Amino acid sequence: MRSTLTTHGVTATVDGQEHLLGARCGGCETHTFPVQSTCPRCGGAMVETALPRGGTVWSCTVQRIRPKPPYVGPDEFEPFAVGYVDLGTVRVESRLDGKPVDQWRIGDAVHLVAGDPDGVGDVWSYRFVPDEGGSS
Amino acid sequence: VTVSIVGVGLHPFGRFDVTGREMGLTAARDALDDAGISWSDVDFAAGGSRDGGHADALVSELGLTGVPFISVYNGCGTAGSAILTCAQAIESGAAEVALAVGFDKHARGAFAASPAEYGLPDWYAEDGMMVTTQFFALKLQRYLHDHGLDARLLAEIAAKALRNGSITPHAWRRKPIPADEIAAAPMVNDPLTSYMFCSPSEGGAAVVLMSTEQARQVSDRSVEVRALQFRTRRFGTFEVFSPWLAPEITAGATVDAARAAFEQAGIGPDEIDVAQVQDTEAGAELMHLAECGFCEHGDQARLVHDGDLDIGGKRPVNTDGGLIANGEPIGASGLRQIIECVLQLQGRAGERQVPGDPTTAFTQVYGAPGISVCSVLAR
Repeated sequence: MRSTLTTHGVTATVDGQEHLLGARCGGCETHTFPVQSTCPRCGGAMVETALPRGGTVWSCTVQRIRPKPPYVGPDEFEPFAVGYVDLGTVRVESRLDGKPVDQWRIGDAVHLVAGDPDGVGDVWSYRFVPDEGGSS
Repeated sequence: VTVSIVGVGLHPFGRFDVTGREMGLTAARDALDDAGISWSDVDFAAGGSRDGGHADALVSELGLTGVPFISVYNGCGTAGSAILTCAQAIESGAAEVALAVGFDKHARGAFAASPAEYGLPDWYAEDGMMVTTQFFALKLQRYLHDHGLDARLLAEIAAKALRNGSITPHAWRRKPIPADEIAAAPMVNDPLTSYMFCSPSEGGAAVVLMSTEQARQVSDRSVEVRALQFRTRRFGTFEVFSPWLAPEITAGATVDAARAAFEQAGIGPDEIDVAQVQDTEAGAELMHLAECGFCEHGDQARLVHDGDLDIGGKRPVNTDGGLIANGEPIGASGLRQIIECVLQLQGRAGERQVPGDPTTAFTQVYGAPGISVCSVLAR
């Protein structure tokens, strides 16, 4: 798997598919996102690992007012959904796209999309979007 | 050696045409007056401010006595660190009379945070996820879901805060707002509306401390600091500014600090007569009540409906309106909580005085990046 892993800092491409790039502790199996070099639980060395592409929404809310800088969203602020996605080994915080902001629910099935969703250009980011026929 | 508070001073919280330093000075001088001592009697000081200036520079106006003055900063726990530093100096024998002071003056609107200062990548903030209000909402949504609580409780808690603020002379928000209006206010981060949040504000707070033995000689109304505990987060807790969480959530810094404080004090939450907890927003009060041990998780609905948290209730909480009515000048906020408890225990809280002659009190602050300071006070 490592042989096909190319990273963009936050995400990695494995066999042509985008994954979030996390870190795994060789000692206690703790996973973090993003990558960090030492384990926050046991202090052991961590190695980079591609995280699962799919998971479920563990908590969610809506950002309805424009965050202060250094937020760099589009000039015309649109409320966005944000939450934690449970990937099994780790829960990652992510913006949630692909349906109206107030329709997200805990337990929704989601998967990763990566790229530059706002088209701003200077944030190379990621989103989770609903699975087709997801739980909501 | 145990430590007692012999004087308190508070510059009102809100928005004012004076500097943060001046508010700190006002609070410090009022605390010295309240203790019946002068600055030259103080042989140790500690203080903090985020945006109001360097605390130790207050010596320019207070008097250049050569006193050791430790400046501290721990986010929302700053005032807690200041009083803890003073208490430890007295307990160790390094000081006899100590002044803890906190003050601040923040720009309007939510706090802006720098990712680099928290060891976080720039994209976390640039993509709109490094937002404190968002964290409170995310923690709260999961909490309401897990414990079957109705978001309506949040409006009731905010209404109580503003009701208490309306009878508190030093509070910023003095107008009571009905729960229905709070629930219908513009949503900021679902399920939290704009009236459910505290805002950054301005103010100053100070206390004078002595050993309990000395305090009893100079004052007949001193309040003993029975416990003071500071904790950072352990692995697996759900804290502000977290791009990731562990799959199993463990008890947060508040749980650890509160438990340690009750253990140090030798009394339990059931024995506390009045409490001030961090209500950065209404959900924080809801969750912190259980995290501090005042009820079981999910039992908050009963406390709210029965009026237990009201002044005159079984255990009044945030009797001066808390952060929701006072706003949060970071350097001063934790000392405001302690001062409110001191005034309640001394029977000096005026219109908002808790009936029944309270003898024990508790305070809790929570802040980034997952810290808590809790105290137990008694007279």
